[in-house]
Amino acid sequence: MKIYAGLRARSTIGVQPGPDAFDVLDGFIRSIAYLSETERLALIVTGNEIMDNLLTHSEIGKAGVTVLVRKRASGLTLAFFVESHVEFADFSSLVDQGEPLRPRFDQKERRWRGLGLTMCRNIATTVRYRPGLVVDRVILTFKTV
Amino acid sequence: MTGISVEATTRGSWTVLAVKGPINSYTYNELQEKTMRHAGRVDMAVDLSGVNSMTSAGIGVLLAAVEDAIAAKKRFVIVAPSEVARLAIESTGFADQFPSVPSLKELPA
Repeated sequence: MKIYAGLRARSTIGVQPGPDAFDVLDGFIRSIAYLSETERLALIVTGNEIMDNLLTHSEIGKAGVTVLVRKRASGLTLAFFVESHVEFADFSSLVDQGEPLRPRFDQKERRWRGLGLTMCRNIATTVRYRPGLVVDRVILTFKTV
Repeated sequence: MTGISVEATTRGSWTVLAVKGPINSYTYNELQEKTMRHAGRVDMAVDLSGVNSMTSAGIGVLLAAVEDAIAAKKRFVIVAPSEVARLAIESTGFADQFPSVPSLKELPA
């Protein structure tokens, strides 16, 4: 685990897919000294949700998931970077269309849809899915508290 | 802690499920199995004080348990949710579906 925390209050970590990914992410966020407890809590809940979504619905490449936390006077950023894949682009187009706007229970698949995105949207100031040719990004911003 | 533990005990008329660890897509099956065994059959309390992270996978399980309880006219409460569990539940917009008590001692008779 490599953590880079410097004067610009920026930390990154590489996370490999698998059940341990959540422990690694948790340990990373809890270790960042420049976060307030309120910020830490927000990053843990949203970070776990995004990680869960990426691991469950995406094809994670060999590079795994890179997670960035950056704190500036203007706000706090939590970002995820993964190798580009088509599922991400499909999902991001749904998000950009504003769907699903409300969580709903999918009777056919017996699971909730849109619940995780709703959680992130209610905690973060913005939630953006940005597909790319090489790297896909999920970027959440928060107010500093 | 990669996995979770879900321990079922009885307290008065309540069946208490004490959950410890992270609830996510890798671990929620354990919680789902235990809640489905009891939900709608008994008054159920889910102790979330030992939960260090919770994603929508876990909240979906709890919502299903709540619905089963309502349909069967049984009671369902969350006990002492950790800060992470509390924020996760609140952020869904469904917090009013989850009555909670601060400790097992506060469970209604």
